[in-house]
Amino acid sequence: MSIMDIEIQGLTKKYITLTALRNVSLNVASGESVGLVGANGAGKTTLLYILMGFISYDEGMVKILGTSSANIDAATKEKIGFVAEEISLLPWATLLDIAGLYKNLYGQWDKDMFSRFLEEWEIVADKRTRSISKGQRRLAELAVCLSCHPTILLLDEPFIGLDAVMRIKVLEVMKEMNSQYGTTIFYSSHILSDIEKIAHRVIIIRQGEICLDERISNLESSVEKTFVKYYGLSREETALSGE
Amino acid sequence: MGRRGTKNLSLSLVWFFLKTFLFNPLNNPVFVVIFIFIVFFSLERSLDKYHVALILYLAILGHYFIGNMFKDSVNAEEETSKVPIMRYFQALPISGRKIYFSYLLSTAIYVLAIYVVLGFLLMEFMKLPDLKNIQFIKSVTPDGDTITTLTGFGLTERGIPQFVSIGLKKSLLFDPISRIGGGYIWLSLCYILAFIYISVFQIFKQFNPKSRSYLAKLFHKLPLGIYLFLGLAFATELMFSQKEIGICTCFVLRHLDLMISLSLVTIVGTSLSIVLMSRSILSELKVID
Repeated sequence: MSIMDIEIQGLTKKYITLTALRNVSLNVASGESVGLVGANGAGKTTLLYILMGFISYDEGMVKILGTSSANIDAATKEKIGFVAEEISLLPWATLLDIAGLYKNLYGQWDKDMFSRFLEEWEIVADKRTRSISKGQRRLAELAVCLSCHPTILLLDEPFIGLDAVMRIKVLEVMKEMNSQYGTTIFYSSHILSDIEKIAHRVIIIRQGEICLDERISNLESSVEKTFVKYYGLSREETALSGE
Repeated sequence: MGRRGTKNLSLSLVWFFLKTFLFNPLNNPVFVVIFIFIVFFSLERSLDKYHVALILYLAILGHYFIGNMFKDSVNAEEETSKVPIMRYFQALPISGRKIYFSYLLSTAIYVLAIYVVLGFLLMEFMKLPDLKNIQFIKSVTPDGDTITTLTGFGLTERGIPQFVSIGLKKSLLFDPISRIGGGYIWLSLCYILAFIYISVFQIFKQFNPKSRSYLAKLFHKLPLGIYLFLGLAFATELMFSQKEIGICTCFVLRHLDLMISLSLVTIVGTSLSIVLMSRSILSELKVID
C-alpha cells in the first residue's frame, strides 16, 4: 500500500454566502503528480489554502504528509513547497536576502540548485522584488520554492505571468524533481496542455465538487476534451478560458 | 543535499527584518530623517528647534511606513487573498508565535537604535539647558494662573538621561491656540485619532474583509492624512513663524520642553502603534483567537 501525502475525506468549506467545497474526497500518493483543473471560482485555491492550513474548513478530514492541515508543525512545513497564485514575495527584500533567510529556515536548502536557477532562468537577484517584472517575480518564487527540495509541491496557478519558453523550462524542472527526487506535485492550472505533460492524474473540480479523478493514461481523450465534456464548453470557449 | 538541521530560526528572522526593511535606507524613510539632520547641521553648523521638530515629524512619518511592513493590500476580492504577504509568512516552517516575537524584537531594536542616534545627535549639536534640578511643582502665579508640572524623560546638558519636570501655565496648556498648549493638545489629538484608526480599522477589516467601501478606504488613508496634517501645520508654521496666523501657529515647537515632550509622545505613540499592529499580525498568524 502506497504512502499518501495528501488525504482528504468529506471536505466541506463554506464562506458566508457560498459553499466553496462540497464533500470533497481525494488522495495523492507519495511521488505522484496530480493536476487540478476547474473554472475560476471552482474551489481550487480554497482547496490548496486549506491544505496549507491558511484557512479553516467546516467538515471533513484533511491531512498533508500525515499531519492534520489545521495544525501543521514547522517540521512538516519544511517539507512543503508552496507557491500561491498571487505573487507573495516580500516586496522590500531582494531575492538574495530571501535566499539567505531560507538557507536558515530550510534544512534541505540547495544552494547549487538555487544558483543554477538564477543562471538558467536569468533571474535578477540583487534588486528588491517589487522592482523586477511580474514574470521574474514568479520565476524567483518558483526558484526559491524548488531549491528547498520539498517532499511535496503545492502550486496554485504557478505559470501565471510566464512566457511560453519559461513555462517549458519550469515544467522540465518540475518533471525532473518528480522523477529524480520523487517529489509529490499537486498543482492547479488553467493551461490544460501542461497538465498532460507532467501529471499522472487529473482532477476536475466544478462548483466545489470533484466531477472527475482519473489517471491521464485512462482518459478516453485529451485533458482539454475531457474538461469540455464536464464543463459543457465548446472548444473555442475552452481555448479562451486557458491562457 | 543532506539535511543540516534546524538553525536558530527566530534570530534569522530578526536579522532578516532588520537588514532588509528596518535598516535599509532604500525601504525605510526614517533614514531620510538622519540625512536631513546631517544636511541641516552641515549647512548651518547649528540646529534650531524648527529643524529638530521637522526631524521628529519625519520620524513619525517613518513609523507609518513601518506599520505597513506587512500590509500590501486591503482591496480583497475574497477571503483567500486577503493578505498575500501574511500567507508568505504562514507558509514558512516557523511558528506564528516566533514570527511575532521576531517582529517585535527587531522593531524594538530598530526604534531603540533610532532614538539613540537621534538622542546622540541632539546632545552633540544642541545646547540643552541643565535639567538636573528636578522637582514637582504646582503653584499659583500672582495673576491667579495655576502652574502645572509635567514630568518626563529627557537629557541633561551632559547627555545624561533623567526625568525632567516641565512647568506650564494651566491656561496655556488647555488653550488650543496658544503656542505652548496647542502643541500638546494637537499632538495628543493626532495620536488619539491614530489609535482610534488602528483599533477601528482592524476590527472593521476583520469583520468585513471583502468591503471596498469608502469608509474602508477612508480608514486606510486616515493615518497618512493625520501625518500629512502634522506636516502641513508644521510647514505653515515655518513659513509664517514671525506672524500670528491662528490655528497653525499653535503647532510650533518654540520651547525646548515641548520638543522633549514631542519626543516622549512619539516614543509612546510609536510603542502603542507597534503593539496594536503586532496584535493584528498575531491574529493573522492565528497565534491568538
